[in-house]
Amino acid sequence: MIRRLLLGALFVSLHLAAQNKKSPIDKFRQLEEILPTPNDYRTASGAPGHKYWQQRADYDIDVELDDVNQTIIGRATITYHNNSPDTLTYLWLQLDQNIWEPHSDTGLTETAPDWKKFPLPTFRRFMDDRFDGGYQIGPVKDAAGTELHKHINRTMMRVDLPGPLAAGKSFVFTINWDYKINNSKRVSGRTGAEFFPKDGNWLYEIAQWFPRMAAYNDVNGWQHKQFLGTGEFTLEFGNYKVRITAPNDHVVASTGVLQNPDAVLTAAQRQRLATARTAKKPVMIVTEAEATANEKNKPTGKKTWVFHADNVRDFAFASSRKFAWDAQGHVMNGKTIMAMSYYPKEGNPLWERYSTHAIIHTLNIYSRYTFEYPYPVAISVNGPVGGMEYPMICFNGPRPKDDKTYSARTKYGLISVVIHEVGHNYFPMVVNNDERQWTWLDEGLNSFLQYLAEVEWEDNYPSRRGEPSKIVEYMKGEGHDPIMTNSESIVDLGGNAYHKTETALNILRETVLGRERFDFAFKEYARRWMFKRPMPADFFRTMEDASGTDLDWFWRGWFYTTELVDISIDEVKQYQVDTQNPDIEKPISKKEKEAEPVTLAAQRNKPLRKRVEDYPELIDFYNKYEEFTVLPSEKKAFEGWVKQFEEDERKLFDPSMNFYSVGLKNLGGLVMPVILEVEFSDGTREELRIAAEIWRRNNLAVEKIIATRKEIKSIVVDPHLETADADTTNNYWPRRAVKSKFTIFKEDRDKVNPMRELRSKDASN
Amino acid sequence: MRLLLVLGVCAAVGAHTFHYSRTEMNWNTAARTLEVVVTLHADDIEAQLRKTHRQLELDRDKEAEGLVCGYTARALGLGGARCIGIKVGKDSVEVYLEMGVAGGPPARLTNRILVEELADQRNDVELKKDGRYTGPRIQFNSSETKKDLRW
Repeated sequence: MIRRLLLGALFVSLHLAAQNKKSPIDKFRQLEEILPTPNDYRTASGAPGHKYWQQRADYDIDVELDDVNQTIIGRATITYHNNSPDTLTYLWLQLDQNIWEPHSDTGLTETAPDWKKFPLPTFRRFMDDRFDGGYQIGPVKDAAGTELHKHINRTMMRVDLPGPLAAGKSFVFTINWDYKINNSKRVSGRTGAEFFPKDGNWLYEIAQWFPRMAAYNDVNGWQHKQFLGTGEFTLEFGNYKVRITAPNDHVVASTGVLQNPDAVLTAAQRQRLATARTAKKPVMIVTEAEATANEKNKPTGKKTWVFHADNVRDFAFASSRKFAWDAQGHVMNGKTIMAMSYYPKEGNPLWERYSTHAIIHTLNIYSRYTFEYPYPVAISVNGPVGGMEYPMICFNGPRPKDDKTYSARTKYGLISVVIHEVGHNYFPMVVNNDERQWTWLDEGLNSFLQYLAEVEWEDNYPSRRGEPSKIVEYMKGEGHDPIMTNSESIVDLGGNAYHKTETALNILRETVLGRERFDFAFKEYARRWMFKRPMPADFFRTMEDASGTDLDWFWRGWFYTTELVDISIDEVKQYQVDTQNPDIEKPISKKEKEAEPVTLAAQRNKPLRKRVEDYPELIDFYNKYEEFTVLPSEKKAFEGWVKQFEEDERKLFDPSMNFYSVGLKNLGGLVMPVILEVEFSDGTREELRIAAEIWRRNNLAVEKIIATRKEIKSIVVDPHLETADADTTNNYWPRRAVKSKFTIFKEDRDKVNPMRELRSKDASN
Repeated sequence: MRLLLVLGVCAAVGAHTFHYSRTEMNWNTAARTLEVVVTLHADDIEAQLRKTHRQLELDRDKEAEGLVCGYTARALGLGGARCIGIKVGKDSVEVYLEMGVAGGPPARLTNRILVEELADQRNDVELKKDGRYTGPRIQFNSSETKKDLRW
């Protein structure tokens, strides 16, 4: 039915003013009530303030890897620089290995497993053979050798200073320690040793292996929230000089640049490294055959590998006689970065084919969206750790099967995890966010860039995340957390901090801001916070500041709530202008009346003999009067009415113009842009992209006007599936049957398999 | 009560820590069939099936489809269901089952997907009739494995 619109000079503004705000919650209210007040350290635009400061810690470490007892023995001299405006009387250090101390909070806070089938590692923790991998900390001494008082609080250690450490001053102290390395088969984690029973050798991936300075900053003071196993690390930048002593037949991969190649590498290895520096594809430094031969070795002594790393927030290494090693120099803006992979023969053929390529691909893509990779080395190591990142080095787990074949899941799993973990060099290794508090701020941003790197690896790369439709199931689930939840408390870390954040950023890029504005703002955030420590508010504020867009509604909905997207198109009404001109309106009214359906009773009554047919004298004026005849008085009234309008206003009285009122409901709660694909009766289509602010006065239901000379045939909400709409069955007007996932799968299954058919044909010929 | 020890390691870094499945059941009025799509974590179902098929890989072994369908149908108490197929993603696997039911959609459902193996397994079920949701999702877990269905 077409409704007639009566025009009047005052109507429009009056009607708008009379609209009620029906929603109880304003989803566009600003975030000032939640975000911290800007100050001299962090500005309202999201940039570091003019008084921004951060601490610094330089490390000089000697460490020995005991391959017989799987033990780390270390001694460090730490120079702590107090760049804060505060005077400090004590320092806090992180003792992460203490999560494997027998009475750690990690164990104590573990909740009951399934009593019917008790996992063996869990059972071990309650029995006598529980693994004790906690730190054994020796005396802590100042530069003069005087012992300092220390207090260990589970995974944190306080060192009391001999006197106040004033702003701008430094303090030097030494510390000794040792700990037992975890056997990853029994106790897995971000670090560990893997034993290969067939050849009797160990492979070590060593991380969180030394007492690391806790962060002291303008937001939290000391960040000494206990490490329970999920919330990763919050660290200070510094320069590292590390001497790693290992069996002399081991190959060591490490954060930093090797300082003594002549002492630890063979002449052939040094020559191959030089070749690799300018090679166009990876060059083997230690071949698989050489690594396999090494497996039969027994060490004849020890070697000390010396590495230096500048301006890093952490340091990790790997060591084994099983390592094959390939390398390729990658030039970026005139600087050569050595991309290198280390893996046992069990990693091939996957690793020699994909790992180093994936490293270089990551550097190319990530640098384009953030900043130029600032370090001289990027390393990927295969070992017992599934996927974990450290400055310049990361540990990645996927391997082929024993018969050297591998599935597509394993192949793409490896490429993706290398991209992801190498990508962590950008977030949080350089953009140094607080992982203990906010996992999403590096995992989510990194997963987002991982997706951008994957789509440039090959067409139709099987990314596990990225497309908005893939997050729908998580967001529909009950009991999940807002993204702004502390790292240790999140139930589904992958769905939340990684996947939902990544999808939110994709939607922000593709649908809300557009690629150009998003990419500029995202790069600005990365650039502003290089080698600094941002907080969530700094990210939110920078993205708004640099894109020139108020995104408070977006952060509020996607990051602070668990609402979902479900926009339903419920009703579409058609209006045309009532010109008041009887010469135009009456024929239209006549046509409408004739188009009205004839009732069943009227149809049955039609053939009945009527009295006026038998008595024509009963017929008078009203029997002959044409209801839609234009009367002179009506013409005169119109002439009077039309005089109130100016000539240019009268031109607007176009009776052929259609005004469609599109009724939209927000069933999911999240306010989002509305994307409408309108199909007209002439077969043409038009797309309307309406900003989320359409919901600002009423976030439950709105009506959108579409003015067009054409007749609308159908409307689809979110036609490109770009908003993570949870229920697409209500996205169509008129409603149409949406093929279910089941039907689509079944139909695909029933289709002819061309490969099978062609192969059968070949076989029969 | 006797404790049964099982082999296993702590969750690896990056592994999901949330054990969950989602089942969508659609009653097709015209065909009088129950169309079932179950989405599972690939690692979970793979680990389950490797108890009897040690080297099984979902996306490589031909027998995987029958094993996954068979396990899922049994766990849902849909013994007579036809296996339409499985779709293996990077992290998840979708299981497609179909079952003709002359008397109409079932009034009660059992859902024991992985509840005996994973203490925190949660199984959600959503019902549809001819493609339209009939109500809120229904949650099953190790202590609630049978529930009435409203179509």
